[in-house]
Amino acid sequence: MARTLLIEIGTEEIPANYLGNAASSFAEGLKSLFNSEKISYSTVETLFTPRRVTVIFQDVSEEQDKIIKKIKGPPVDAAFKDGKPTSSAEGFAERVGIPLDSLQTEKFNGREYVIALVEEESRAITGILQDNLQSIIKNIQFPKKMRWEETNFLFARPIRWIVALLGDEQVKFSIAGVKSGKSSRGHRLLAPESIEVATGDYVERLKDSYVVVDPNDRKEKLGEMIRSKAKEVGGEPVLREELLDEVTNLIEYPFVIMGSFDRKFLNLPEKVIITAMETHQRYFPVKKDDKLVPYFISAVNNIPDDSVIRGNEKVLMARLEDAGFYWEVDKKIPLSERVPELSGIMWHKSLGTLLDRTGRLIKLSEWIGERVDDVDLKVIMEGARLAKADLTTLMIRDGKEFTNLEGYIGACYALEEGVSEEICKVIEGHYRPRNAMDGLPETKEAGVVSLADRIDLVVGSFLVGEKPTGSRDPLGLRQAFNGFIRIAVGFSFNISLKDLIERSVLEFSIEANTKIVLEISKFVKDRVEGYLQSVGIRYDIANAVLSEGWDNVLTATIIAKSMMEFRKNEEEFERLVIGQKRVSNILKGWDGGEIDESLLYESEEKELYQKARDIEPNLGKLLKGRNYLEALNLLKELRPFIDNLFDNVLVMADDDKLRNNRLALLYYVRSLFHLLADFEEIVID
Amino acid sequence: MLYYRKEKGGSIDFQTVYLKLEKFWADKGCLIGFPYTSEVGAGTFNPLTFFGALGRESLEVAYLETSRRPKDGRYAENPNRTQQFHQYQVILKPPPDYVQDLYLESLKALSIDIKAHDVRFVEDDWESPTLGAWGLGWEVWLDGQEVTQFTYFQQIGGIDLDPVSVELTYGLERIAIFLSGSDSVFDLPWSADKSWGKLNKEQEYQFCVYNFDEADVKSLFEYFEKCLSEADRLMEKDLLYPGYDFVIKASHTFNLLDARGALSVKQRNNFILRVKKLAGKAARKWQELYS
Repeated sequence: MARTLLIEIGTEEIPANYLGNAASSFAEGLKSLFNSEKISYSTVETLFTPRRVTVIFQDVSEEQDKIIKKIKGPPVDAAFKDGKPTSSAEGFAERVGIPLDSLQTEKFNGREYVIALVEEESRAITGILQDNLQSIIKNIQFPKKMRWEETNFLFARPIRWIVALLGDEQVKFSIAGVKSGKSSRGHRLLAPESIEVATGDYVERLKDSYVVVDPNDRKEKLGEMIRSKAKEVGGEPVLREELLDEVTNLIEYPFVIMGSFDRKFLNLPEKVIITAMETHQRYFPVKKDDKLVPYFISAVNNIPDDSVIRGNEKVLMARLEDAGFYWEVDKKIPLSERVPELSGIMWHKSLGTLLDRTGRLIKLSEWIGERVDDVDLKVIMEGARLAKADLTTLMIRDGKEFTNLEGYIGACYALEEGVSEEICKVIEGHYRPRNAMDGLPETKEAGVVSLADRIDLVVGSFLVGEKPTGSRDPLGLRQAFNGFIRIAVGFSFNISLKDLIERSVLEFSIEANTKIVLEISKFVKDRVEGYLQSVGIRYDIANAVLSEGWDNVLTATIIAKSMMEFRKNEEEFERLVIGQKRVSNILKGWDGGEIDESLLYESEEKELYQKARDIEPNLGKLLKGRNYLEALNLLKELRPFIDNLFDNVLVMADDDKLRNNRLALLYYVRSLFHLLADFEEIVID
Repeated sequence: MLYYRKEKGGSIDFQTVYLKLEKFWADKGCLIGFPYTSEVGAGTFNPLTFFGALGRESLEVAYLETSRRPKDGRYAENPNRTQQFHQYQVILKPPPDYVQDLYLESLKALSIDIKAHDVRFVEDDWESPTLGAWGLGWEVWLDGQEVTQFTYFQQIGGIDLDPVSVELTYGLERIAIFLSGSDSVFDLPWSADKSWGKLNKEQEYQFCVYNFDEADVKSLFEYFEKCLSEADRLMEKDLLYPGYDFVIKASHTFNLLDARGALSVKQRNNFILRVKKLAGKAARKWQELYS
C-alpha cells in the first residue's frame, strides 16, 4: 500500500528570500535518494512559511522496487563437464545462495560464463529515510548558514521541531539536538500551542492554527486583500511582484492594514516616498489616476486593530520626516555649486576624485556627442557636468535607503532649481541601464553621457589593472559594458570603439601599453560576442561577423541579424557557405598576386570575373546604406558562377601563371564576402 | 518650548520600561552590568559583550548602554532619530532553545499584549565593521517599528565563537514611545514629571551642532591616529583593557569624522579596516591571555 511522506522542518524565522530555493533543494535531495534507492512516488509538493519548510511526497511505495543483481561466475567449460556441474559450479551456487538449476549463462567477450541473478534484499523505507535524512537536511541550500547549538550544525536559522511521517508511521531521527515527532506548531502569536498533525490533515490543521502553509495560496489571498483595501479609497496598489513575494514569506497568515500619512509629504519626489515605503517597511503605495495618494497598505502577521495601524503610521512618518530633512537641507546648495565639492570624494585611489571623473565625463561626452546625429551638445555637456553632483547630497551620501536613487535625486534637485528638463533627463538617465532588466535612458543625450560614463569606468579600471577575472568582477565592468552595447545599438550610435577607447585613454595620466590595449580589446570583443548571443545570434555567425571587425558594434549587430535572417533559407545558406569554404581551402598557402584579365581563358573564369565586377558597385552601395540582407542576396548570385568554376575548371593548373591567376580571381571573390563576415567561421549542422 | 504632557492614567514612562526590563532579566538569573564609560556606538562595544562572548564559559548578562551615533542626529528635529539613545543589552551564552519565547515573555513583562500586535522577526544580518563582529538574526518589528535587534553572534574580532551567543538589543526609546503613545521621543515621559526632551533635547541639539558643524576635523584626525597607536602599544604590553579602551575611542572618533563629512569613500574604508584590525588584535589577545 502506498503511503504519503510528510516532513516539516520547524525553525525560527527563515529569511523570506531563502525559502523557495530551500524547499526545492530539500525536495531534490529526497528525490535523488528515492531515485538511487528505487523507491517510487507520484507527486511532490513543497510548502513553506517563515517558520517551516515542508515537503510532501504522495504514493510512496511500501518497499523498494526489486533490485536484481547479476553475478558473474566461472566460464561454462570449467563449470560443466559432459553436461554435469563441476565443483566449481557448485561452489559458485553456494556462494551466491541460489540452487544449481537456477544458474544461467551469458557471453562476455566471446566466452560463455555461468551467471546468477540474485534478488537484493529489500529494505524498509522508513529505515532508508532514517539513515539519510540528516545528510539531506544538512545539504539544503541557503545563501548563508549559522551555528546555534553545541553540535555546530549549520542551517539558515535554528531548527526547533521536526515532523516526519510516512503514512501513520513516524520516521525517527534527530538533527542538531532536535528529535523528529508528529507535533507541529501553529501561528506564533495566535495559536502558539503544539498541534499533532497527520499526513491526511496537515494543511487543514495548520490553517485552523492560523498558518497558510501553501505559499501560492498565501500570495494569492494577500494580493486580493491588498487590491480590495486600495479600492476602499478609490485607488490601486503599486504591487511590485518581488515585493509581494517577499511579503508573502514574512507572514504565516495573511492580514492587511491600510494607514495614511500627512499630505504634506506628497511634495517629496515620488520615488523618495515610494522608497521610504517599500525598501525597509515593505509597504505597498497606493495610486489614484497614476498619482500617489497619502495611504499605504501593509501585510501584517496578526489580526489587526487600530493600534497596529497607528503604530505603522508613526514608523512611516518618521521615515518620511527623515526624507524631508534631507530634501530641505540639500536644497540649500544648488547642484551647480556642488560640482566643486566632488573633489572631496575619492572615486578611485589611482584614478582621482569624482571631480576628476566629471572632467573626463564632460570631454568624452562631447567627443561622442560630436559623432552622433541629432543631439544637443549643450545639453550633453551640462548634463555631464551635473551628473555626479548628487553624490554630495545628504539624501544619497547618508547611506540610508535613498542611496539607490542616485541620478534620480540629482534630477529632482536640478528640476527644483529650474535646470531644463532635457538636462535633468541626462542626470537621471546616465546611470541607465543599471542591469540587464533595466531600460535604456530616455533621451539620446542621456545615452551619450551614459556611454562616456561606462567607457571611462572600463578603460580606467583596466589602466590600473583592476580587470574582471573568471567569475570575479567587483567593479561590474561586464555589466557596465553590456549596457554600453545596448545603448549604442538601441540609439543607433555609429561609433568606432577603437577611436573611443583611444580617446578615453588620453584622459588619464596613465600610459596605456600595448598589453593593456589588447586586454581592453579582448574584453570588448567578448562583451560584443556575448551581446550578440543574448539577442539570439548563433555563436558561429557571431564569430564570423566579429572576426571581420567588432569596432562598430552597431554595424556588427545589424550584419549578424541580417545573416540570421538570411540563414532561414537553410539550403541556400549552406551552399553559399560550402562554396566559400572551398574557396578558402584552396587559397590556403597562396602567396597572392594580381588578376591578369588576358589570362582568363575558360568561359567559367570569365563569367565569374564579370559577375563579380558587375555586382561590386552595387554591393558597395548596399553596405553603405546598411542594407546587409540585400547585400547577402547579391552575394548569393555569385554562387552558381563559383560552383561552375570548381566543377569545370582545374584551378590548380600545372601552368604557374594560369594557377596564380585563377587563385587571384578566387581571392578577389572572397574579398567581397569578407566585407560582411568570415564565412569560414560558420558551422554547417 | 519643552513641555511635559501628562499621560492619561499613565504610569508608563521611560525609566519604568528600563526598570521592568532590568528586573525581568535579573529574575531570569542574569548578571546585571553597567554601561561603559567611554563613548560607544552600541552595547556590543562594552567589554561585557566584546570579551564576554569569547571563550567557552557560559554567560548571562544584561545591562543598559547609552549609545552614540553622531551621524544619526537630526538637530532634535526628527521625532524618532537622535545621536544619543539608550539600548538594553542582553547576552545569553549558550542560547537556550526557547530563546525567542523568552524574548516574547520579556515584551509581556513590559505589558505589551503581543496577541494584539504585529510582532515579527524580520531578517537582518547584523554586522559591526569596526569590531569585526557579525551574526545572523532579525530585527524584531512591533507594528512595523524595529524595537530590538536579535542576533546569533557568529564571530567577534574575526574569531569564530563557540558556543555562539544570542545578543538582544532593545531600543528603549522606541519601546517606551510605543507604550506611552507619544508622537515623538521628545514628548516621551522619562519619569512621572519630566519628559525625555526636558532632560535631553538641548543636549541633543548641541551635540548635533558639534557633530555636524563644529567638531575640529584636524584635531580629530590627529586624535584618531593617537588612539590607534596607543591601542597597539598598550596591547603589545598585555595591557588589554586600556588598549581596547583606545580601540573604542578610535571608533567613536571615526564616527565623528564621518558625521562631519570629512572622510572620502576610500579613507572611510581604510579607517574602518584599521580599527577592525586592532579590534581583532584585542580579541586574539584576550584568547591568548585568558582562555
